[in-house]
Amino acid sequence: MATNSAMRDVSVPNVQEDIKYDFKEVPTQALDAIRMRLAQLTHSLAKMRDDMSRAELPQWHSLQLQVSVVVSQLHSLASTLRHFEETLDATVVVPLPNFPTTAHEGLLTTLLRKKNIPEVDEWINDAKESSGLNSTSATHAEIQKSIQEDEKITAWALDFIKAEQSNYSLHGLHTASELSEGVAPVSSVNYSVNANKHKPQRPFEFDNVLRSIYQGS
Amino acid sequence: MDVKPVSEAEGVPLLLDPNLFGLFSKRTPADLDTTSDNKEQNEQQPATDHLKPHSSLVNNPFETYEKTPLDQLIPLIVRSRGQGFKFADLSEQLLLNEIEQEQERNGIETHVSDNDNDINKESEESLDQNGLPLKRSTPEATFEANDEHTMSLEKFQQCKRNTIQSLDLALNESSLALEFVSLMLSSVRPSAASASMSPYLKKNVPAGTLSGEKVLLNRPSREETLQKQVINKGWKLRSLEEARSLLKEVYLESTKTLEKERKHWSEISHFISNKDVVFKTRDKDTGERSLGFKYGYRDSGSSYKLDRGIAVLKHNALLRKLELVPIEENAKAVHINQKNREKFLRVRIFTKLQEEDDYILTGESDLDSLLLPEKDEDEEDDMRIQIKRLKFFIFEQELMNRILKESEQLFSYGVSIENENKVVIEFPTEKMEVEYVQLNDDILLNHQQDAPKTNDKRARLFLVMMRLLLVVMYKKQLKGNILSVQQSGAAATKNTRSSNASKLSEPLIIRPILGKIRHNSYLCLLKKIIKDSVLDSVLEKDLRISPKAKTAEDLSASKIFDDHISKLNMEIYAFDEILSVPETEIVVDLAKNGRLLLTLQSPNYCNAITTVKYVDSSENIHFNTRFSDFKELEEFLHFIVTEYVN
Repeated sequence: MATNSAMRDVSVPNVQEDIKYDFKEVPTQALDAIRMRLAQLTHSLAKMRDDMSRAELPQWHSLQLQVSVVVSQLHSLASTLRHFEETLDATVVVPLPNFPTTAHEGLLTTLLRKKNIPEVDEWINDAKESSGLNSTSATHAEIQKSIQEDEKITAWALDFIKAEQSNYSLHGLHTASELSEGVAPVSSVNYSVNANKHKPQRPFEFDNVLRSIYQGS
Repeated sequence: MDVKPVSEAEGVPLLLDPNLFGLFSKRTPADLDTTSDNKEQNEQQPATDHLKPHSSLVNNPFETYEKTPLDQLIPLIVRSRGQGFKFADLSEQLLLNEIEQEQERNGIETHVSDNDNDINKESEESLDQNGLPLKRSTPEATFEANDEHTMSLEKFQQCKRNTIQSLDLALNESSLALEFVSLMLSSVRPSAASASMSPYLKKNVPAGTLSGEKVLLNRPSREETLQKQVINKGWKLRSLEEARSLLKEVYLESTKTLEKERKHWSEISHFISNKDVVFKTRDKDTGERSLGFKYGYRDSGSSYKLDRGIAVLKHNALLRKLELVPIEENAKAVHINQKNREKFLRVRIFTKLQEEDDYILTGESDLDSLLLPEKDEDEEDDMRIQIKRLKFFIFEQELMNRILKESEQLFSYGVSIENENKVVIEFPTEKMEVEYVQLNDDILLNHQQDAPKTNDKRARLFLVMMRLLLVVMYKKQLKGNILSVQQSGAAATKNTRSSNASKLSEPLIIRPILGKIRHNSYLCLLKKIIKDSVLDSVLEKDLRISPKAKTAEDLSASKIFDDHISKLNMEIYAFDEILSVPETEIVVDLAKNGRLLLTLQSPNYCNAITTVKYVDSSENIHFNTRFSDFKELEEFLHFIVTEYVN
């Protein structure tokens, strides 16, 4: 595909310039929403890439922060895509005649590419393999069943983890269960009430007097 | 919103970054149109790809043994298959069967570990933020990886490269999608779209050149939905697996750290009592926060400034124990190693041989038990011993320093500084050496073999007394400190304070001891003179010698309300016997002829001044004369005896 024919490109007369194309089928709202998310994501990724390419790596916590930002932006992008799923699926993109197809054929094919890049295909294959389900041998019903079970387990696991998380106090030196069971030294040891402040109601209690007679103070 | 990090001047938009295209073409030759071929390649590629960078992870016997000559290879095979195996029994069929079984057994495991490698390579999140690689999912590998805390630079660079590569990939996809969406949008919202388009795209493709058409929405088939769910599940499992290994790794790591910290702090709390001074500081070598430990005697009243007596608590990873490393304050002090600090004082007594002009060693102070090599001491006490030794050495160092300073003024009394580590005190019949000795193996060895000598005890006592006197100096200093704090409000006491200070700065270690010895010999001499010139020529006589007792006026006279001061006073007073200036009175009772009063004084401890008074029978004092020369005194006594007594 010869794309380096810019000279020819110049000679192409813009005869179609005046033609008004119909853009009403372009899903403006969806695209704009996606554009925003993508712009943010691209920005974050670019910054992170630049940071990583430097001779001196940034602090680990700053990197971690960037990663979590990227992840949340990815998440936001994915949910936007899901939101407009139907509109987007029902839209077919076509290049208009005024696209410099001859000069930038490669660019057009790159832009319109729908096929997954090899890495993504790899991930998908890996995921399929890791799922432990063989789509060729097992019937649909079996797969369906297995997936439903899996979802059940996932839901249970999620509940369990939440419950476990609430069992732990993630501050201080002792776990929540330790604190509630009294295994850990409760603060009373450290902050014992000052005995001197305790005043008996009567100056001498009979029992105390007797006790001090036989065992001293 | 300009999101492109690449400036226009550079002219290389991310979209068409040649590197990235290279990345693609490596995997997908030609274009993306070939399907079945490509797919196969993709499946194979990862397997071989992972072998190369992670060759250590995947055991590839082919690589190792391919070039081994047969005569080495066959014994290897025989050995690896265990005893009782003959190479002739090895058949292709047998091997095939074995491989099949092996695969069945390891089927799931290999999948998992392969996936892990994959994630490491591809996904930027999978990199630990410290730059450490993820540990493999097999437990053995996790342990191994835990052992090696540091990672090689090469490995780190590899990780970094992988991360950057993944980031590039993600960035490329993201920018590509952005370009596409922007171009698509440029027809309806030109301004918004142009903001997020790369300069390259803007230059080459006019806005509004893409359009869309609505088509009938194809509901995804049941199979497609299922397929997606399968992928979801698979991905979830992978992520779980990864999270598991991460958690496990972190758990192991933190358990180790916890154990280490626990040991560290429990050691500290075990060894360091509330009598020790511990403070926060920074390790000068590493710049890390650390605990400082004060072993010097500053707080006990020492004003020694050459060594502040501060050590840093360090954890010796090699010996797995805490160590105290003294800080070198004095830049001039060139200590090659810590051992150089280990010097102590040794006192030796040499007795003069009567016939010759030579000395023999008759007494030597012994080694402090601290200095003796530890005989399988409990590890428990290790730290305390370290502290004790440090305290001991700094004390000895200060003591030597004071002795040297003091000795400078005592030259006329037979004290000479031989070198910076040796002071010699000479007496008529013997000499004493105070030596600052480096502790070394020879000394320790010889010490055990030395036979006891007659003057050992004296030498020991001499040394002990010097140490005690330094302690008394501390106490005086402390007292002075407290007093000056108390009096600092009152300006009137300024003079007394300054006089206090000057008194305190004067070291009194050798001088009192030397003074006592010299005073004693003066007394002997004086007695001899009296005997020769008075007693031998007078018939009726009675000699009384009494050391002048110092009254405890200091204590009773001044009323002291401060507990600390009175305690210090008591402690200082305990040493009054040796610290007071020696003074002896001799009364020679001559019966009817009155009596002679002689007073031997040593105002600066070492000299001798004799006052002579003659009181006749009618209580008239005839003379009150001071002599610093015994010859004159002798002549004077002769004169008195001949003139008045006889």
